[in-house]
Parts: sequence; C-alpha cells; structure tokens
Amino acid sequence: MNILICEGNKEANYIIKEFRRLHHNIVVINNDYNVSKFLSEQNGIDVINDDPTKEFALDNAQIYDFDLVIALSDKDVRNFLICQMAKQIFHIKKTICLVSDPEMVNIFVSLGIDAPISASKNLAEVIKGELDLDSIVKTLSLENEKISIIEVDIKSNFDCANKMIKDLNFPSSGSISCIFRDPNVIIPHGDTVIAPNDTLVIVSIASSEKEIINFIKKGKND
Amino acid sequence: MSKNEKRSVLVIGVSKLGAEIANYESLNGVDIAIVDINEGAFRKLDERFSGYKIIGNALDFSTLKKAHIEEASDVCIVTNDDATNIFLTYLVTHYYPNKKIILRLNDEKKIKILPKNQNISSICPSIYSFKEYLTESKK
Repeated sequence: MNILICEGNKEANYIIKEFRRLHHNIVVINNDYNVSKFLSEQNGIDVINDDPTKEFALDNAQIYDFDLVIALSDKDVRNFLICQMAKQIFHIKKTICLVSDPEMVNIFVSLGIDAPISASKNLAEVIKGELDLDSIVKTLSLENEKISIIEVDIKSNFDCANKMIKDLNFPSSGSISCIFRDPNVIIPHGDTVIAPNDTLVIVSIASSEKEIINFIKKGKND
Repeated sequence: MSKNEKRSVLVIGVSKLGAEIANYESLNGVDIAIVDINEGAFRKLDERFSGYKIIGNALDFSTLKKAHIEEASDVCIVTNDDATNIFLTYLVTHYYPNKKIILRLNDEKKIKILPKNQNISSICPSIYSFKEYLTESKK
C-alpha cells in the first residue's frame, strides 16, 4: 500500500516503523523541522519538512492516488483539512485522522472522514471492557461501536460447557470466531466441543453484546 | 430567503474583518451575533455595536446554539485560521443547511475543497489586495 503520514511525533514514528516492517510504501510530511529530523533519523527515510495543509507541499510529495492518508496533528481542524485535501485534490482513497475531542468522532464521519480516531474514547472503551461484569468477559468495539469483539472465559457450570457448537442454538447476531485452549488456538466448526477453561472470542453486532454474554454465561440450571 | 425578510447575521471570529462586518451590519440595523473564543478580541468592536457578543469556541455546538445559529440567515466565518474556517463551513453546511455562508480563506488554493454548494462564497484577501494593486499601479 502507498501511505501518506502527516504531522504527529512519537505516534508517527511508531506508525512509520510498523508500516515499514510490513513493507508498505510510506511518504512522511511534517511541518516541524526538529520532528522531521527525528523521524528521518529514526527510520532512515527522507521526511518532507513542509506544511501538509498546503497544496504545493502535497503536490511535491507526489501522492496522487495513494491508498491511505493518516493525519496525526494535535489540532482537529488541521487533520480535517489534511484529509479533505488528500481526498478531493489528490484522490487518496481512505482518510484516517486523530481527533482530540471525542465528540468530534461522529461529526468527522458525517463530514466525510473515513476513520477519525479518538485516543480518549478508545481508552474509555478499553477500560469499560476491562471492568465489564465479573472479569471473565472483556469487550472491544470496532467501526464506531457497531461491532463488538467479546472475549469470555468458560466455566464448568456454564450451560454451553462440554457441548458442540451446533447444539447450542447460538444467537444469530454473533459468531464464535476463535477458541483459545492453552496453548492452542482453534478455529471452531459446528462439531467443536466447548470445554471448561476455554476462552471464546466472539464477534457480534454491538447491540447484541449483552444478549450474547448472557447466553454464554447461562448456567446449567438456569 | 425573500428580500423582505429581515437578515440576521452570525459572525464567527472577531478578526479585523469580522469586527468590520459586525460594526457595519449592526449600524445598518441587521440582527447580529458575533462569536470569539478570546474575550479581548471584542474590543475591536465599535462602541455603537448593538448585537450579541458570545465568548466561546465556535467548534462546540453549545457555542453555536448560544449564538442562535438556527435563526441566522447568513453566517460569516472569518477567523484568522483557514483550517478552522473550512471545518466550520462543512459543519454549518451539513448541520444547518440553507444558510448563506461567507468564509475567509488566506490560501485561495483551498477554494476547490469547499463543499459544492451555491450558498457558499469565499473572501481571499490576497486576491483583493492584488486587484487593488492593479488599480493603484495604473493610476
């Protein structure tokens, strides 16, 4: 993939490293001279020290038809501008940006940004997931809280324990995607038997999260 | 809006331009509200200015509501920052459609990324200054 990374500092450095490791083509533009130098030295790449909200800077970077732009400025409106320019003038296919104000996530989506990411909102989600119920369940939201990933530890008193998946009558709004049975990872089929101490990874529609957790936790005598 | 209906103008940003617009419209009896995040900026307004002054961040809906954006027929987005002005233009176009929007853009190259909408027009100081130059240089 061809990826443009604009602004940011340590987070930009981390993302550059990760994507380079995966052999993507990366172009980096940063308006801060010292940060540009840091990113260049850390990664052994050329960093364009220029303002990514200026058309000529993006033009010089030759990023037409790139697959992805990631805007990491600490100013939300600047990230919005970078994404709109990338999309409308340079036809970059997907726009991802940081937003510092969690309220802005839905607003940015409604104004055409593909994936605004709020660190504080994600942090709150992770904390909520960690605190959930009695710690045998962890949850994670994706796609702006439309998809849930639920991780549940199976106890021997659960109704589903020692049963085949096809016999469970599992809710249709979710699917058991993976079972962790230490040290193995199992991709389950209908005739896979759920065993006590398994960890189930379930992907579900977010609105059905509670229903699915209750279904799994249902006791043998409930 | 019909010509008989009374105009009401919301100005976002007490820049020199914002203050000029607010003073002018206020003296002409137009209903006017003006927003800025910085209380000190309001001193640019004329003593005779009789509109609403709202101190707050225009990027918050609560500030826009306080400034009665629903009732405004025109919104002038004239802060000193292009990124803020462009974002607010998108925001107002999407959430408060059918308002006349005039925004200031320091970089005229950004006109092409504005929402495609006939209610939006932009003021680019550099273009006007250059026109002035052409006139002056021919005198």
